[in-house]
Amino acid sequence: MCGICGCESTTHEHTDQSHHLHSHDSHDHAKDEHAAPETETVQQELSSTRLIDVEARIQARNDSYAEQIRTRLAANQVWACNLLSSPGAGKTTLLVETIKALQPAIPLMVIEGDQQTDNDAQRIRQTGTPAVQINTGKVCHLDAHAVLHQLDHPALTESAILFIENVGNLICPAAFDLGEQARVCIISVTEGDDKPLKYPDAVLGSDLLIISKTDLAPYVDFDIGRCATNARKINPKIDVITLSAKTGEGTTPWIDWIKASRQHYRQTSTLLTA
Amino acid sequence: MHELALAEEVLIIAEQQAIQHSLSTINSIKLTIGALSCVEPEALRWALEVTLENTLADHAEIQLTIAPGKGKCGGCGATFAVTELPAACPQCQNWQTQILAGQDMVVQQLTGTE
Ligand SMILES: Nc1nc2c(ncn2[C@@H]2O[C@H](COP(=O)(O)OP(=O)(O)O)[C@@H](O)[C@H]2O)c(=O)[nH]1
Ligand SMILES: [Mg+2]
Ligand SMILES: [Zn+2]
Ligand SMILES: [Zn+2]
Repeated sequence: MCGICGCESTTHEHTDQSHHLHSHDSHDHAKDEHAAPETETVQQELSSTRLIDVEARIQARNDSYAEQIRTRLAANQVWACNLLSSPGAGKTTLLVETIKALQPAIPLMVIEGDQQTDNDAQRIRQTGTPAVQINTGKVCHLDAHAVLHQLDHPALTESAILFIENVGNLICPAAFDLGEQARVCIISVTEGDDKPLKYPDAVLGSDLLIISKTDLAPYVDFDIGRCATNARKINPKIDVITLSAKTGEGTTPWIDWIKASRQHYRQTSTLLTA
Repeated sequence: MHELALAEEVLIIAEQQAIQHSLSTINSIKLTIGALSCVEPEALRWALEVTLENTLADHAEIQLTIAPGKGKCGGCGATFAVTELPAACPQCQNWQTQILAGQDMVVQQLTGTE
């Protein structure tokens, strides 16, 4: 049984895709759970149909794992940030630059989500910051269960920042709470300033919109102001920062945003646990 | 295609209910999907069809209801129906809409045979 989430139950991780998320060797509980039910019972004729009131939220299981993550993070005063974007918007590049700006003053940890390869985790490790890679296989998002399983590899460092780079996809990751304190949506200037309107769910659930690759702005028809306005129509509370990870332009407000958000979290969570 | 992952959750819920209520077969599943949840109803239908195949809910009838979205204007305080985002306030036309309802995805009821 799984000592982390207690997931020995009869109903857990059925498909080969989701089994992919379980990296523990000893954790192969996907195979026989799905034995087909006995269909040809003699009692079929006599059996009665019953109506059950269920009233269960579809995401209840993910959210309970997310809640466990939040508890674990709070116990260690770790601030976690979930990064969402389309493939190639510049998440990993920005993370590398962010890490360089924050270390060694603040302990850092990274969880990388990609369908395949551990290239991004390797890019992060070159900075000296520990990184684990979750390969989701055919699944197009990280879920709280997968993240919970990685919280001990390596163990959470007290007062660290945990960056979670989600699978490149602006639709699916929006539906999965990972127990993070901050969600950041990144849209690069090569993607079109109407992107928030096309993918409202990611914007609605985010605390900050980063408009990235501003060094490329002169070469494309991308109106930064219009993109920000579109995002605020969907989420009036969203913060907006424009930056270029390549030139470093605009990265200081981003680093300040991280520090302020982390500070706020640490103060409020200390008050709660005191 | 997170609808596949959500369909998987529906199956897990159905299986738990089946154990709890000693059902051998699930005949129908009634779902409510918020108009502002990040789910494409047709994609979810397809995902359920694939996911429920060869389970105790194989061929279960899927009843899918869209729950209306609701917003509140941060300017004038009016509440109004929201069918998609972004949504301006119909009273004062500003864009300070706070979403009050329409994001939930719920398994409401199911029928099964003992
Ligand atoms: N010009 C420019 N290119 C960038 C910038 N940030 C990232 N890139 C490039 O965009 C591509 C994708 O970046 P990556 O960080 O791997 O994106 P991810 O898929 O979101 O992690 C790479 O070729 C990067 O070099 C930037 O600020 N300016
Ligand atoms: Mg990346
Ligand atoms: Zn597990
Ligand atoms: Zn109004």
